[in-house]
Amino acid sequence: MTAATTRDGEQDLPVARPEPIRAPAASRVHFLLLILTVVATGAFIFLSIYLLIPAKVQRLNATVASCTAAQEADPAFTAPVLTDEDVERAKEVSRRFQACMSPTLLDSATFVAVGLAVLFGSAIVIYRVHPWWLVRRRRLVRLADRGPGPLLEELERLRREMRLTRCPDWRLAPLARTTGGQAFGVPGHRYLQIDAGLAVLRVTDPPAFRAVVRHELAHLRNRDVDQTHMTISTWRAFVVVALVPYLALMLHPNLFLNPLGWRWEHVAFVSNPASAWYRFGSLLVLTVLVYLTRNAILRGRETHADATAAIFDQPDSALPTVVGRLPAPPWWRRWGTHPHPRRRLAAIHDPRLLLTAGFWELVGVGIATGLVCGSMGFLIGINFTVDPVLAFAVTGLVAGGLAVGLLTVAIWRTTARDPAAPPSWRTWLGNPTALVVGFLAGTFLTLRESSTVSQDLASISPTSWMVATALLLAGGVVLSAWITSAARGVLERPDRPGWGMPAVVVAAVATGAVWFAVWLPTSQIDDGFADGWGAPPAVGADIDWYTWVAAVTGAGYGPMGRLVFNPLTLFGLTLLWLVPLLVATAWCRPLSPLQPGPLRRASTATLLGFGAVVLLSVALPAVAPLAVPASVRTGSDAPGVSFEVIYENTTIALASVIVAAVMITVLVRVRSHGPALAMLAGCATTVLAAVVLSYLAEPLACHVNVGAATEAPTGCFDDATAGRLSTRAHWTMLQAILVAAPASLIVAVVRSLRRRSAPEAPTGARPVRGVVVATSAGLGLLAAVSLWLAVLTAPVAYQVWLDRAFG
Amino acid sequence: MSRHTIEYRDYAGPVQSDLNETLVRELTEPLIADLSPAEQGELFDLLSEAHFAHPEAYTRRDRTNDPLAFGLPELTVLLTPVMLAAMNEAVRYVVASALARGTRATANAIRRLFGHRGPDNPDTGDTLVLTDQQWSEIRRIVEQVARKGGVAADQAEVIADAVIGRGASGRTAS
Repeated sequence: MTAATTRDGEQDLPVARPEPIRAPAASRVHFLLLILTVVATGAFIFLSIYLLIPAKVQRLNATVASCTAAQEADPAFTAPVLTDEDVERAKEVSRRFQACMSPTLLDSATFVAVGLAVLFGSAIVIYRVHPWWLVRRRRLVRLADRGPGPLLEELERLRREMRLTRCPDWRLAPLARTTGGQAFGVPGHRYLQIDAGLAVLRVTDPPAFRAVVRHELAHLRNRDVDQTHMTISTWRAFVVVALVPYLALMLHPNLFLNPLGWRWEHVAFVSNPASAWYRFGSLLVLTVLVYLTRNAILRGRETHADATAAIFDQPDSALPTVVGRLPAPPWWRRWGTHPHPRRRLAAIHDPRLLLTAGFWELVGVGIATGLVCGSMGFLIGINFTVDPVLAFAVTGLVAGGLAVGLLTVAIWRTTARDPAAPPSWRTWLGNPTALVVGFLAGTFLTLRESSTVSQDLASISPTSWMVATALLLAGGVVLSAWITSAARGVLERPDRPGWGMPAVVVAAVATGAVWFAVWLPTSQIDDGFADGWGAPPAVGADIDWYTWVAAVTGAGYGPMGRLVFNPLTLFGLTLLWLVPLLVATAWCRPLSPLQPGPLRRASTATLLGFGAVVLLSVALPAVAPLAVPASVRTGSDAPGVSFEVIYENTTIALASVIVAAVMITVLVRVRSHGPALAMLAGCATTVLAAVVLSYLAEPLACHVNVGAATEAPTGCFDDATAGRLSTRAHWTMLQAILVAAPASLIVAVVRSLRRRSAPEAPTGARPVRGVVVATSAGLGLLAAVSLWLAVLTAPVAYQVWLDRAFG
Repeated sequence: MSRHTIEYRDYAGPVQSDLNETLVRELTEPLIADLSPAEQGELFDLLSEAHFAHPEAYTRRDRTNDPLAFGLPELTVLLTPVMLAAMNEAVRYVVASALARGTRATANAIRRLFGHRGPDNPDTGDTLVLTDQQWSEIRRIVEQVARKGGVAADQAEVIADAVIGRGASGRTAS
């Protein structure tokens, strides 16, 4: 190391300057989505290539024929499924078929995996050798080799000003007449290229020279070099390893069989034009998507570097001048690698603009998510498990989690510009809508879709599609409203903790991903969301109101069971109230939800709800015998639903209505942290209701013999189990959310129109310490009980989710 | 052109490259100090080393749309490689002319011809004399090389004036 690169100039360090705004990790999420898109598209491309290899196709066809014959010869395959044992036998048949197919499917999966490994291996190689290649191609000269000099000394001074402790390997590009620079390299060895033209600028225009160098140093400070070059490497590897071979095979399908025997009638566009053009169009859009995602990453890093450099470029700032001299790209390069100078200047003057995310950005994310869900769910389903529900759920959990994460970041960034302002409808409605629109577009672009276009396999009815879409959008809007509220709660604080934003992201992802994972497989089935009303009662079907109650309270809703028997459901819902409160109570300052105002209202609503459930538990056993004849209440072997089940369903349904009323009340009456407190009140009331239903209502109903049993029941108070407690809590909470969600949307719309979402004025009163301790203990207990109830669903959840695939 | 001069393009050059590099560098550095002070000093050393390692690179046209680069949109005209190339061709022409006349073009004579004097380069010894026509040819060569290096026409004339100007003073002295 030369003298010029030592830290001998520390005394020249400028006085402390403000830290640059740390941009949220949207670009990292972009990068992950880029990788997922490449994985999904690449996997299907390699599978298509596999199916174009004659030997592989012959083996696959032979295996399918033999396994199908064996399955059809199995008596259990054709036997009717009437009992639980029949179901188990049917599952065994499926498992045997999968075991028969698995060697061949494993072979295709291995082929795809190897293809992806080659693709990403190539990307890594390109990334690792890029410094060597750039140094060699540009004939870069190491400045440190020549000893100290004015140029190197000034560069080092700028480096120290930017508070970069590690010296980059300064390189001069002596043949470059451009006046720019470039940061590149791998971890442990960063290069910073100075063009010869820029070195001249040091004398002719020192402020401009410093502005350019600071911009490049900002890339090192922002640590975006690896992600940038890995993005470019991935794009290049995708083109070379996947895209070009696939296009070649579309033009010459017999390339592997008879390389020299090309005939025009074999070209896919001629032999099967509809499918080929759809595939080609999809591939074109996918490629453009990968390319645009790449560009979005590059644009983001440039703007972020401008903002960071501007912080250190204040005394003689030439950065705006330099950026202002950049040529404005034509409209067709709006989505190119460099942002418009106008946007860059705006970000320099107001770094908060970095925090904004456009709708198009979220549409792109939605498309990528749709692609991943469509392609990967299908691939996992046919290759690794006989259970397509599980395959799509796993895909939805991962891809949906990422999409929700980016949605959260986008809302956070928008809110951060002015947390005190009332949230705009664009934030909580526009952002999820853009994401959903992109997702729907992406599902039509998957290569799976293109492979089935001529086979009419994608037979989801328009009505079913619209219902599924509406539910997805509604869920996205409700979640966005919560994210907006939680973000405001954190961002309004001047001394917010650093973990506030990650915690909100985790809570949103933990909830949104689970619900999306349940939604996704259901949306693949025609009428998946259209399960009907409850079955008529076994006895008493002639009583209209009784039949109506049985129908309403017993209404089955396809995906609900997958949410009820799911340990992650209540876990996510708990985070929705716990995280905002934890962030807020990290200070215990005025306006905290632990202040008497908002929390008292939520507590009051909870207690009222609890009282209502107790009243219900006492009243229902007394009212039921008066309303329903004993002959109806008595058990019967007739087909239909028994009184006992209808009574249980009714109890839970009424409790759900009470919980929903509590949540809506809190939403209407509390403006600060409304969604979090509504969820807190809902969870608290639900847990209390489940306890009351299990340990008061059910024993009491048994004790007074509501079922009109001929023999007086005994041991009524011994029947409660923790499992039933958990199930009741889940059903109650989820049904309450079904009722409260539309109401919460109405509240949000009304609030948005009336612009009354400003936080409540501080009371100035400090909370009493004893109250704070007691409340905190109560909240901790509630969180612990909720998590315990979530864990209790695990055994049944295994049967619902994993039993079919893993036995 | 007199019958004693040879066509410049026919000359491949017996001048040793090392000697040529040192000489050309010596002759060019003062011109750079006059015409492009920003390139003198350490930058001149760096650029001249790069130029002699890749003598044809001065004609290269740089791309300005590198997706990862940042800087001013304009290209800087680096005079060092252009003038090194121009001076190299001028020296080569002088050596060729001298050989055609049967005289020996020493480094000191060339230095004096281009007005480069100093305590270690006395005004004695071999001298080279060029005709006005030959000076015109040198001017043409310098302008041609400068234009090839991306220099605007008017600036190429300034460069030629600088080269010839120093030479003219040397001619007067001889």
